[in-house]
This record gives sequence, structure tokens and C-alpha cells, in this order.
Amino acid sequence: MAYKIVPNLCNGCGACESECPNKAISHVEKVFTIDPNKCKECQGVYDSPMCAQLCNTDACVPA
Amino acid sequence: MDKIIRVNMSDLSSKTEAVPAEWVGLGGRAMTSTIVAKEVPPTCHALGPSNKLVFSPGLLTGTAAANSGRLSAGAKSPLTGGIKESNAGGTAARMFAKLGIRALIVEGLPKDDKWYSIHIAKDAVTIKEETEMVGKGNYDVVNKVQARYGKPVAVVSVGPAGEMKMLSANISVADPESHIRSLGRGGLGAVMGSKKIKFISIDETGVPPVMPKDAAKFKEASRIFAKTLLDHPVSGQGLPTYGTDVLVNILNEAGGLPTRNFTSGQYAAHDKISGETMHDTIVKRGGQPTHACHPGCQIQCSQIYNDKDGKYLTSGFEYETIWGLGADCCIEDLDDIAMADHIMDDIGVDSIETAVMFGVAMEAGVLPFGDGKGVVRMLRDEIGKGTPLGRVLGGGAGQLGRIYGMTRVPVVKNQGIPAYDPRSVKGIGVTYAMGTMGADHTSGYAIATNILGVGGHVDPLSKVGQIDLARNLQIATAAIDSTGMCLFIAFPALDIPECLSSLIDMINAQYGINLKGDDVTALGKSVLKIEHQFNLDAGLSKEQDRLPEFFSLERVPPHNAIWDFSPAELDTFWNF
Repeated sequence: MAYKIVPNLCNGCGACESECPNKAISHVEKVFTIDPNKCKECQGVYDSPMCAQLCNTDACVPA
Repeated sequence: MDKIIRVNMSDLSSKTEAVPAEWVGLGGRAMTSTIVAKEVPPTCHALGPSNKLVFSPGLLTGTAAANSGRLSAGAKSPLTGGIKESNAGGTAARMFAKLGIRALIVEGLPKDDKWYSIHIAKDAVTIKEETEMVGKGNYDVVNKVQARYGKPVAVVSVGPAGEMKMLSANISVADPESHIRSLGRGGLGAVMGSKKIKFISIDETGVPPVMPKDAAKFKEASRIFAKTLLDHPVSGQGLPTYGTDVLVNILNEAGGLPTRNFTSGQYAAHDKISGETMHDTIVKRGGQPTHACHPGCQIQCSQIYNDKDGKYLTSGFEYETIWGLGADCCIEDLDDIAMADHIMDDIGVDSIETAVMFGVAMEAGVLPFGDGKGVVRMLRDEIGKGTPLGRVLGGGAGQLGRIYGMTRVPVVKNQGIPAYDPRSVKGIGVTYAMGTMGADHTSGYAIATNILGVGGHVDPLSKVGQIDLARNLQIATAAIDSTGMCLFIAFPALDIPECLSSLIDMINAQYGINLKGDDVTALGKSVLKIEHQFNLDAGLSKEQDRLPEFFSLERVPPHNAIWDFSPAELDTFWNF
């Protein structure tokens, strides 16, 4: 279980990257991507995945 | 819970206070200038016990708003003698905001001769004696402090120049790659050095993200805002591709690129130092032409510039630095300029003040025009080591000019004039003359409208409309500097109506308030008036709102333009 970022929805604002508790999000060219091996969907940290809460284009979705 | 933290260096104590009612709704520059104006005696010595160093994140810093990660620092400036606000990217602003710290106010001076660090974490402020980092450059300090804490804490530090209280000393802020951004102008590093603080570190561990009062409304507004940044040709294409150095060829073409200590407006070797050349060099050497100076930056005008061997040399390699050492000092080798930029970041001096100073020093015969290796040597071995010559050079352009008896000394309120000739780009000349910060292009960036055709067009060579342009831009800038937004959002804000309206919508959704466009303009006006009054009370009267005489005596090619605003015309700037 992990989240992913839909590349053509991501506007590259980076709001998700700095708040990911598992440091699973990184920059690839102008957009961001989630490492499925690191993503824990914020379990035990937040009520729901923080990237999806913050993303202003709803680009962060279940993988 | 929002709070103010006060650190008193006289007794090494700290306390946490609630945000007073009159400071609620302030951030960034509005916060620092309000606190400095209220609590610092305008006639105090800037390096004495009465000055205060204030840090504040912007109103939107820490939120999911794109480009909102700027940190403001304010104090009385030892360089200008007036009020100062300088802002920078890096990771510190976001961490201040996440910890709910609306302002950090550092007061007093230690009674002993020791150096100190301040560490800020959730619910704890620790002031400790520091020995290991004393005398170290900023790059070293950032790496060692982050290693000490075992995580990427934010680091705000001074280099040797700040320790020596040089007037050109800046304050460094570590960026996401542990490289250096700078609270550059006005000698704020000397103020931090006077308080004997080598570094401030901030740890965000255990603190949740900053969430808006109205999440749905915030998301909608931030989506619109982010799109305007991508859609505008300057913030969406020009700056990301070439960085701010894209301006070299543009200003050269316009005849506004000050060359050889402000004796010409065009530089024959402009192509060697241009953004286009820099971009190709970076790509060829495996650097990064596009890079964010703070988390959440979507414009990404920064870059990572490698040397000939593909090793990291510098980042945040800006137009003003490249112009200053390039055109103004006639140094044609971009690698020499990059090495100088690295050393300036490391020893902690303002790259604009220092470059303008070297232009004057070259005319004075301290070293020849074009001597890039000489500049590198003097930065490292004279300024960096605090030799007597280094102390002279480290005092900035105004001091160097006085010591060597020079008359062509481009400063206003003793602060070096950046990157745009005020005779051939008159709107920026009005900003230089009237700005509360001393000569500062960022306080009212008339280049946008004079040269780039952003926000309409005002002929750069004509006097018509320049005072209104500079006034309106300075008011808008004072407001933007209070939000934590990067000033480059002004490009879309001047051309795309949804940019500013969505910015205001984000502030409203974040705080559950109902600001209108007029309220934001009123905030900008009030910040400028507070700063102006401080300057008047500090002895910076209207006679200081002027450009140096040589701009009215010497015409600058290729337009043979001259500075021809009368004092009475300039003084109408303050009619608002």
C-alpha cells in the first residue's frame, strides 16, 4: 500500500515533499514522485495521507 | 499556538510571549519593521546593546502555498543607519512557521567575550556557548551543525565577516541541499556578530504541518495561484530556464547594464557572463540549471554550478553578483565569478555590496579592472582573514570610496547600487533614491515595467510616470514581503489578475479572515510609512533620498542618459 503522484496533475509546487513523514517524496524534473517502498500512507502519524491533504491539484492518489 | 520568542543575550535568557494584539496579522517584513520601529531607539548604535535582531516568517510561510518560504530579518542597519529588512529562502522560515514562532527577537549583548548558539525546538529554546564553529565559514558551519544534530535542522549563521562585524556582512540561511542562501543586504551579519551569535538552529521534529482554517477554500485558491506562476512567461519559463542571470543580455541590450564602475551601460563581453552561457555551462558540467532555494518553490530560479571538473562550486548564482563582478568589474571568466560567489557565501558578505565595492576599488587602483584572480585572492586572504586591507574592503563601497577619495561611488544611504543604471532605467533610479532600505532593486522592481514589459510599459529613458511606478511597486513589495512570498510572484501578479486575488484568498482561508485587495495595499503603505519614520528619526532626512552627484554630472552611453529628477520631484514620492 502506497500513494502515487499523477505526473500530469502535479504542478511541481513541492508542498508535499517537505511534510512527508517517511521522506518518500522526491523531485524528478519539474514534478514530484513517491517511492512506493518508503510510503506508509502516513499510518501512525496522520489520520490520512498528508500529501493528499496538502496537494492543491489532487494529484496524490492511492497507487 | 502562535508565539513570540525573545532571547536576551545580556543575561542569556529566553522567554515565550503571546503575540500582542497589534502584531496579530503581521508577518515577514511587516512584523520585523513594526517591532524594530517600536523597540529599537532610532539613534542607537547599530552594533550596540539597544539594537535588536528580529526574524519572522511570512503570513503564508509553512502552508502549502507555492513560493511562500521566505524568511525576513530586520534590525537597524549598521551600513545605512536606517531600518533594514532583508529576506531569503532556505529551510528556516518554514520551520519557524511550523513551530508557531511569528517572530524571534534577539536583544542585548553578552557581557563576556564568548560566542553562542541558539537552538530552537518544539517547546525549548537553548542558548549555549559555542567554540567549535568560531572562525568557520558558513558551508562548514551548516554541515557540522546538521551532523551534530544528526538531521537536516535549519541553520542561520554568520561567517568570519559577521564575526568581525564588517558592514558588508550578511546572514546565511541553509537551503534544502545544505547550500547557502543569504539575508544579504545592509550588514545584518554584523548585528548578529555584535550579539556574539554564531548560528541559530531550528528543529521541526514532532510538529505537524500548518493547516488552514478552511482547507477546501485554501486548496482552490492555491491551485489557481500555482497555475498563474506556471502560466506567466517570466516565472514559468525565463527564470526556471536561465535563472536571474537571464537579465545580463536584456539589460545590455537596453543600455542599462552598469559597466566599469558605472561609466557605460553596455559590456562588450556580456555574452560570456550571460544566463544563456551559464545554462549551457551548467548542463555541460552535470550541474542543475533549475533548483529550488526553499521547499515548495515552483519557479526554481536557483541552480547548481559545477567547476570544470564537475565538482560543486556554487548555487544561487544571481544576476546581480554576476553583473557586479562581470560587467562592473570587467571580469570575463564566469568560473572566477563563481569562485568569488562561493567564497562570499562562505565568509558571509553581501555579494552585491562587495561587487560594487570592487568596482570602486578597481577604479581607485587597488587592483586592475578584470582581475578575477585578484578578487578571489582578496576575498579569501584579506576580507576572509580580516587583514587591515580586508577590513577596509569589507566595509562596502561607500567606506572604500571615502578612504580612497573617490567621487564615482554608486551608493544611496551608503548601500551599493545594484545592477541597473538609474540614468537609463529611471524607474529603478527612483526606487534607489527613495527606498527605505538604501539602494535596493528588490524594494520596487521598476525593471519589470521599464524593461520587461510586465505590468504595462513605462519608457525607461523618460521621467514621465516613474515616481508613480516606483511608489506603487514599493507599496506592493512591502505587502508581498510580509506574506513570505518570493518577490518573483510579482511578475504574474502584475499581469494576471487571478494571481493577487488567489493570494489574498489563501491568506483569508488560512486565517479565517476576510481581507480585501485594499487591505493589502493599506498594509504595504503602512509598512513603508513605519520604515520612513524610523529613518527620519534616525537622522536620514529627505536629503538622503538622493542619488550620488555623479549621476547628474556624467552621461552614460549608449543613450547618453543623465539623472535629471529635481529634489522637489523626488519628494512627491512620499505623497500617499
